[in-house]
Amino acid sequence: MKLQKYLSVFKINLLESLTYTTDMIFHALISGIYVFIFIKLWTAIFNQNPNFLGFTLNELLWYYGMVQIILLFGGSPVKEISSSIQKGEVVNSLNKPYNFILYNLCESLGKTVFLFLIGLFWVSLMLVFYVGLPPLDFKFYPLIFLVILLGVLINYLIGFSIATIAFWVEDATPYQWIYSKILFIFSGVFFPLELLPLFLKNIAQYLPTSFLLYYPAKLFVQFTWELFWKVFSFQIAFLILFYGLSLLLFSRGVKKVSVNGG
Amino acid sequence: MVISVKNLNKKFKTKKKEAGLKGSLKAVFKPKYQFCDAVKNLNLEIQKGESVAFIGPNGAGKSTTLKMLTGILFPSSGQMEVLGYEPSKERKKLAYKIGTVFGQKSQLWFHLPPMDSFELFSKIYDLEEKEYKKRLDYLIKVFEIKEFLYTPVRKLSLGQRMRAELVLALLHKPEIILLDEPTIGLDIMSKKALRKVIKTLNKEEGITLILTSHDMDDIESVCERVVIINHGQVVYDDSMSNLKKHYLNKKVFEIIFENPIEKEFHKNGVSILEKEEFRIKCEVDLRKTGIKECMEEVMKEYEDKGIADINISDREIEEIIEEIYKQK
Repeated sequence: MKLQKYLSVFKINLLESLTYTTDMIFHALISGIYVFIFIKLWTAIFNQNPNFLGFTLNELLWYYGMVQIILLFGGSPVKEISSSIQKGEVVNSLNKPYNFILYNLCESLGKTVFLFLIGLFWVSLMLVFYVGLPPLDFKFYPLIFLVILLGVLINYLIGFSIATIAFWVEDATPYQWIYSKILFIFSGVFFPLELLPLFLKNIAQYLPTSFLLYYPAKLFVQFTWELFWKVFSFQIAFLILFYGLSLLLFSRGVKKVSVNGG
Repeated sequence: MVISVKNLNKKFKTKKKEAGLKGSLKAVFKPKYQFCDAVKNLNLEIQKGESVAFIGPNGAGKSTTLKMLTGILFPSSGQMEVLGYEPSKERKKLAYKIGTVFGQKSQLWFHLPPMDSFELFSKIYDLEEKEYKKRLDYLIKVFEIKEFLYTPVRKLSLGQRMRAELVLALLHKPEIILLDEPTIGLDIMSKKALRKVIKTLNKEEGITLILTSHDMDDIESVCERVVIINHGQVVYDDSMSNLKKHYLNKKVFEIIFENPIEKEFHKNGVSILEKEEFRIKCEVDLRKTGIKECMEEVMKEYEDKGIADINISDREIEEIIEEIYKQK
């Protein structure tokens, strides 16, 4: 694999995304508004109970802020890949000497990295202003970035596997809709998994969806080496599993491509 | 031989749905499918350096064949070999040796200047920096794109964009270039300029060229061999000069006048197809008379009537196919 090839794909998509800077700033500002609403909500809850779900107010708000920041990075490729298969634009990708999965991954990361950085700056600024600095020592930040990145990659690969359904059916977006609803409950996007009933929490903590947002954000606010190694090893296993699944589905699906006309 | 195709078939399966809500519900619970033979028992051999036109009516199977040759589409049955590779199994290896332009699907980054897309492609095709610069300089000169190298693609005219598309497709020095409707939507000057460079590259670099187009002028000026496809089958495969001699020997002209015309127009080799009060449509047999000579006589004949519009066209590809079937 020639890394330079994929770095160039990342770079050109970053460059193209910079033509929509205003859109991205507004997008990041909206994430800030969500964070603001949650700051008010959780502050009210913590006024009643100062140690809710085993989190302090500072930890819980930084957890939620971190989830919002991660959501801005990468994202799911279902809509784009599915539409490119439907419209036949996929022909321009299939006849190129690159790995289709990695190409689309770099495209997705390149398009969102600037948005991620704006969101990181803006949400962090708000949280520092309202609840002070995050609880984690700076020396652990590279490890947090690593688990965030692994989560983003797993999310992408799950999305890619869903997108390949478009090779068989006309539109894969309904499947993405179902997946997004699963994420609502099992990824910790609105609240930490501790809030779920015990039996659901027990299931959720081993689902791949928990390793996309919940665990990276929890590590950021309640870091332990034990949790880090658990998260890291599960993420590597899920990464291999979903990469394998993506490869398998793509190699089968590509035989089904049917592009009529020019 | 760079391309060899034997008994190639491609069947498409499509869902059949009746109109309306009832039809949609029926299609969900009891889907019906229909099969369409896009390519049927196609045989073809192309030698290195040839310039081949692939023509036929819409839905004839031209684009499907080209996509199978690049490995994008998998054939239902049959054998294919392109530059020694089996396209459906060795798509990535083949990609280094083939350049493609699908006229209706751009490969350029819309919001960025062409230069950024060129840089990316140089990395995608693993080109050495020095080799890439040399190649790009050459193509910039040949395609005359220097003036808009740093202008975002969205601000380019269609002709400029298409020239940039071709540079992109030729950057990695492909041995075969497949052009699917490269002149679609272009004005006459841009078409002429594009044809000239395509022809030059075919001659100078020995690139094997396969072109599909609905424009007979494209085909006449660029290609030396013509393959006509209809219903997924080759119905004609011969030199351009033979096609011209046997089938492109007629032109049609239509004139709309400002005043009513009464007189008939008579000339050897000209037959009147339609005649109305203000309009006349004739077919000219180019073996008997030239179009220029013919037009001069028409002008003279009706000089007091005032001409509102003139249209001269080649025969439609469908007419040629019909004639080929008749002769068979």
